[in-house]
Amino acid sequence: MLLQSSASSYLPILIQGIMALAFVGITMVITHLVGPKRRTIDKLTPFESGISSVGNARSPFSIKYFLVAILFVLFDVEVIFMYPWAVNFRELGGKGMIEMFVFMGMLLLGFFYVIRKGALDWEK
Amino acid sequence: MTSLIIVSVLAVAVLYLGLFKYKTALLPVSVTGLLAAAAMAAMDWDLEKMYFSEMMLFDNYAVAFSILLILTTLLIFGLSRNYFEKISNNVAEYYALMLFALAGGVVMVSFHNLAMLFIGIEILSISLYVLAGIRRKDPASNEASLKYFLMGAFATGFLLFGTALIYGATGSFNLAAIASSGAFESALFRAGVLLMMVGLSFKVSVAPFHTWTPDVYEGSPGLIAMFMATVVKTAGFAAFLRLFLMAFAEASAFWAITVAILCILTLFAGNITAVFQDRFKRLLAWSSVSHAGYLLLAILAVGFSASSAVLVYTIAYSLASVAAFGIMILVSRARGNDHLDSFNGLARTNPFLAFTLTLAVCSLAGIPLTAGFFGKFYVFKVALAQGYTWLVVLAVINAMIGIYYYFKVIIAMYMKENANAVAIQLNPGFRLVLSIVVFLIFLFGIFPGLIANIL
Amino acid sequence: MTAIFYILAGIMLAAACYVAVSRDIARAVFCFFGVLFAMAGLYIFALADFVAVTQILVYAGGVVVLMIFALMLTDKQLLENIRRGESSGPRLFRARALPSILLALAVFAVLLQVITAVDWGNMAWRHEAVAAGNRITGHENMVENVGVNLMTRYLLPFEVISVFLLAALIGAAYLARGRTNN
Repeated sequence: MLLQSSASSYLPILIQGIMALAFVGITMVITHLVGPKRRTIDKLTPFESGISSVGNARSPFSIKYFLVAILFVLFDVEVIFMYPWAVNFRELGGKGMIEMFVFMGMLLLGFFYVIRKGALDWEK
Repeated sequence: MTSLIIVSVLAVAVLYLGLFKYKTALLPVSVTGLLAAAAMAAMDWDLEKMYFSEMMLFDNYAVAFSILLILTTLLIFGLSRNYFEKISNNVAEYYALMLFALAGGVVMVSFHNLAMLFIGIEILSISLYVLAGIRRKDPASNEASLKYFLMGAFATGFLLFGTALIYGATGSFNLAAIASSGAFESALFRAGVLLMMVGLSFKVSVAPFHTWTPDVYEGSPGLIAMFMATVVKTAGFAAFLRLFLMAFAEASAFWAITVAILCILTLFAGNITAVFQDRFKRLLAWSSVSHAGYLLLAILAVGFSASSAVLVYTIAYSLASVAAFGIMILVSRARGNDHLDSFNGLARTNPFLAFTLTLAVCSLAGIPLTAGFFGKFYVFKVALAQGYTWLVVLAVINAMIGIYYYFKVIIAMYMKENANAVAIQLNPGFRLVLSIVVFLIFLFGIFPGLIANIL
Repeated sequence: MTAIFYILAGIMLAAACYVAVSRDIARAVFCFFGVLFAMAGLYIFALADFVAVTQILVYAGGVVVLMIFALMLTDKQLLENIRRGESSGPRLFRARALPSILLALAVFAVLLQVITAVDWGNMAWRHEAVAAGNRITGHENMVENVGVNLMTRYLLPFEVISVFLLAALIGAAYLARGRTNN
C-alpha cells in the first residue's frame, strides 16, 4: 500500500485531469471542423422540445432547492469530519467511537429537527 | 466546563420542547438550566482547572465572566415572556439560538487556545446572524442580518488570517506557549497581532470597524439588540482582553499605540454621532460604540487590575443596557416608534419606568451613585496608572458629551408633556427584571467593593 | 513540479482578479470555482492533502453549487437594472470602490512586509521541532495524522464544532424555509 503523499503522488490525477479536459476540447474542435454546417434560421434558434422558446432561461425557482443545498453543505462538512476518523478507526478504538457518536448525535438531533419541521417536505 | 455543557444541552432541549409543542415549558426550563449553569460555573471558582489538553482554562476570570454572561441572559429571558410570541410562531428557535450564542460566549471567555477562541466567536456570531434576521417578513430585519453576516464573515477572515500568522511565528495555538515563545519582534507575529486586532474590533464594534452597528441594532428585534449590547459585547471584550493579557502582554509596546488610536476614534465616532440621533434605539447603538472606546482604555492597561476594571464596567453597562433597551421596547410598542418624542410625558404616566430609565441612562453616562460611575472610574484609574493621562482627558471630555445626549431622553420624560399619552401596561416579568436592575445599579453604585474586588 | 505550482498559482490569481472586477455575477461564480480548484492544488503542494480534499468536497462541491442556486433564485431583470445603474464611469476604478481598493492595498502592504522581513528558515520553533524529530518528510499519510490529532488533542474543538454546526443547521432551516408555512 502506498502511504506516501507528496505532491508528486498526485501527478496521475493531474494527468487524468489534463486528459479529460483535452478530450473535451479536442472533441469540440473536431466536431466543429468535421461536421457539416447548414445555417438556416430554424437551425439557429434555441431548441426547446420542438416548440419555440418562451421567456428567460434564468427565471427564479423555488426556495426549496436552496434549502436542500444549504443542508447539503452542512452535512458535507460533517462528512469531512468523519473522514479522518474513519481512516484511524482501528487505532482510535472504542473511545474514538464514543467521541464520534457524540459529534454525530448532535448533528442527528439537528437533522431530526429539520425533518420534523417539515423543511424537507416537498409537497408543502 | 460543566456550565458550557449545560448551556449547549439546554439549547437542544429547548429546541425539542418547541418541536413537541411544550411552549409553556420553554421559559421555566431555560431559567432553571441557566441557574444550574451559573451554579456549576461558580463551583469552578479558585480551581484554575485546565480542560482537554489545555483547550480551556476555567480560572477566576473565566468563571466571573461566564456567570455575568449567564445571568445577563437570564435577565433578558425574564423580559422575553410574550415578546417573541408577538413576532412569530417559532419561539423555541429564539431561545435555542440565544442559548447557542451564550455557549459561544462562554467559550470566548474561557479559551486557552486560539482554536477555541475562533470556534467560540463563530458559534456566537452565526447564532446572531440568524437572530438579527429572525423577523423574516421585515426588510429592515433582513437587511440587518445580511449586513451583519457580510461584515462578520469579513472580520472572521481577518481573525483567522491573524491566527494563522501567530501560529507561523510561534508554532503554537496555546496562549501560554505563545506568551513564552519570545517571537514578539518578528514581523510575522506583529502582523498577526494586527490582523487579530482588526478582526476582534469588528466583532466588538470599535471604530473604524463599527459601521454595521447602528443598522444592525436598529433592524434587529429590540430584545436581540439588547442581547448584542450586553452579552455579545461583554463576551467580545472579555475575549479581547483575555487574548491580549495572556498571549500578547509582552508585546504591548507594539500594539498599545494602535489600541490608543482605535480608542480615540471609537470614543469620538460614537459620542459625536450619538448627539445627532433622534431615535432612541439608534442613540443606544451609537452609545454602545462609545462604550467600546472606554473599554479599550482598560485593554491598554494590561494586568489584573484591567480585568477587574473591565468586569466592573461590563456589569454596569449590561445592567443599564437591559433597563434602557427594555423600556425602549415598551415605549416603542405602546407609542408606535422609538423616537425621542415618544418618551414625552412618561414621568406622568409611568413614574416607575421613567425613574428606571433615568437611572439607566445616568449609569450609562457615569453619574455618581450609579454602577456606571464606578465602571468609568476604575477604567480611568487603570489607564492613569499606566500613564495614559492624555487619553483619559479625552475620555472624560467624551463622557461629558455622553451626559449631554443621555439627558435628552430624561428631559423628554420629565420636562415635556404629551397630552394624549396613556399609561403603559407592564407584565410581571418586566416589573421583576427592571426592579432587580434598579436595585443592582444602586447597590453597585454605593458599594462598588462588592464587584471591584472579585478578580 | 515548480512549473505546475506556478501554473496553478497563475490560474488562481487570474481567476481571482476576474472575480474581483467582473460585473457579471454568473461568470464571477464560475471563475470562483476555478480559484477554489486551483487552491486545492496548492494545498497539495503544501502537503495538506486533507485540506485539499476538504476544499474540493466542501467548497468546489458544496459552496459553489449553493452560490449558483442563490444566483438562480434571483431575478435576472433586477440584477440587470442594478448593473445598468452602475454602468456610468470607468470600469475598474469607481469612486465607490476606493475604500475597498485602499483596504486591499493596506493588507497587501502588511503581507509584503511580512514576506520580505521574516527570516523563514531561522525561526525558533522550527529549530526546536527539527531537533525533536517532529517534522514531516513528505512521506507520511497526513489524513491519519489529522485524524489522530482531531480525536485526541483537539477533541474539545471537534465536539464544540458539532454545536456550531447544529446552530448553523437550525438557523439555515429557519431562515431559508418558504414563506407559506410560517
